[in-house]
Amino acid sequence: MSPFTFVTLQYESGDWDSAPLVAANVIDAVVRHTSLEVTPAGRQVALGSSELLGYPFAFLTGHLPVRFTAQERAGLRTWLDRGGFLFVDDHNHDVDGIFHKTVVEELAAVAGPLSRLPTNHPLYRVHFQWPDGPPNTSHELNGWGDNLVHEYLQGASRAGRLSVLYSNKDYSSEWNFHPDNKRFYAIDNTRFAVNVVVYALTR
Amino acid sequence: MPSPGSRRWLERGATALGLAAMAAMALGAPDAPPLAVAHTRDLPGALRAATRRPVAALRIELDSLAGARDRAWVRALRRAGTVVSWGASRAISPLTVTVDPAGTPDGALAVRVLAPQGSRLRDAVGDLWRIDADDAIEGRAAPGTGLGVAAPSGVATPPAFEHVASPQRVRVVAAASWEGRFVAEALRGEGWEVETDFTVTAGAAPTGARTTTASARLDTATHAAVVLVGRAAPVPPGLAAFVRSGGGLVLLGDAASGPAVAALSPATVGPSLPPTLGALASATPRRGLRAWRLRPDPAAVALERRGADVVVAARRAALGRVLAVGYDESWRWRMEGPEGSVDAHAAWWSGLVASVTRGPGAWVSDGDPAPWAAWHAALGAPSAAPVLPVLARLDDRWLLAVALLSFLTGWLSRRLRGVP
Repeated sequence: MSPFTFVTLQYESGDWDSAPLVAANVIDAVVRHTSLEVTPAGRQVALGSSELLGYPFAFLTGHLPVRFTAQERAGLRTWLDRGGFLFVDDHNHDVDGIFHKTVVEELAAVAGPLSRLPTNHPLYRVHFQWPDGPPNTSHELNGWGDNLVHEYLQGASRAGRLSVLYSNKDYSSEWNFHPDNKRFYAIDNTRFAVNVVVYALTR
Repeated sequence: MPSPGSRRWLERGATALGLAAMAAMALGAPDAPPLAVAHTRDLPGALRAATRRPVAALRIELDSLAGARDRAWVRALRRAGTVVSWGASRAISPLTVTVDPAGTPDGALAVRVLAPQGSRLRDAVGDLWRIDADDAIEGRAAPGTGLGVAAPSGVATPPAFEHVASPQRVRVVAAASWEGRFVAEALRGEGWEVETDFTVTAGAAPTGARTTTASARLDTATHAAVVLVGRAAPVPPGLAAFVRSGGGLVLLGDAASGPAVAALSPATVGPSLPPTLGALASATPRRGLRAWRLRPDPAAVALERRGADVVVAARRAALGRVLAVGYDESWRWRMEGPEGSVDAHAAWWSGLVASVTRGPGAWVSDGDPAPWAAWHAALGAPSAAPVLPVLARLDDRWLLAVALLSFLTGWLSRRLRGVP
């Protein structure tokens, strides 16, 4: 069995590499909290490339407007149809932000409209337990961005399976630090990333 | 004018002939002469006639296949003493149709047909396939009534099949991995009810580390099969008893090497075979998967090879069936394969599971799946009409006439010479 590989998607528009430390931090969290075999370093894969088909999990983030090319749209559609799981996070933490508006349009065109995930969704219980829905980020609690606490995540399904998970809680900022600095935290704030990975691997 | 002595001899002869005719009638000479049937369509009428009034012999010339009812009737007449012979006035092509449960959750039937060109597979609604060549063909059909093959030479009907409820739940057990997730997804896509038991062991999860939708207990009343994905998959309690009582088991990758399944496994696991580069996108995508080399048990049968190496093997374990599938990471076929690989991967997986499960149905009545073979089995090879003894060829009416004529001749002779 090949190990789990955390893939960050490269796309032509915007700034796909706005949170370069997320991959290392998520990998660290998965290794700390599970027995899953994990590729030690994340990979960056171009959205329109056939290489993506070798990795069923991918993460997409950014601050800037997102406009997929035709090749990127077709590649993403094929990848999702075949069973890929896409985790998209808005690095702006701004409900009216330009990343949010544009990426939601692109996702709706490829994967269908996003819908709200209920707080009892298995995503919140698959490994660690969040009975009240997604954990809040320090940016939300500090009133940054749109000064809102986003209470839910959104998703799009294919054949009854969640294939796109969308967050505008800005986990990209929350998790964009060197894993060594986790020793300064009373509670590991990347535990929710473990749930996302375990969910993708098991549902 | 014969002398009185000669007339007495004539009278005695006539009396003897009359008595002989009556004796022949009394000894059971047939009531009717041999009966010949020139066309298959005339057979039912001839059989009715031969039953109402037994015949010494029945000669049948077939120009098409007779049905099961007529075949049984002819056989019964032969057992009752009628001499039966048959031949064919023209060449009759073999005709066979067999139906088995395909084992898939939709209750589909696996149909195999051997029929001459121009035949049609039909059910009560209408034609399903038209057979365009003199060859055996096979395919899937939905359960239906009146399934049969109509050919110019006759009609073959398989046993009627009725879909009944049976467990189609499959448990996929794995250490959390893409393979387990994609196997479950493939089976769900094909209509199987899938429950998963994916483990994420160790770590510091505060509420335990098992991710499962599986019910507690394996039972053939509720489960059709178990898929163990890799050696790291935890073996469910009661698995051996489940298989021996009729459940199916698929051992994927190196799962067959686990000590807990050694008594069930059709093979041991050897070194792995590397994938053929580029084959995933070819017409033979499984060659692009890494596979474990299997060493089949003497009781097992090899089902798929890569070159000289066995990669899929199967065996029975009491009432159950076990399949060892050496392929590793079949999800790559689904993700990286050519157009249509999602469906192909799902169909392949559904077939693997179906091969170890019991069919979802029961036979409810007999059909006539191979009428030409059954005719030969019932009546033997074609033969010429037998030559019957003279008495056997005489009708009772002729014997009665001979007897009456003989007695009348003797009586007249005696009256003419003045003897009462």
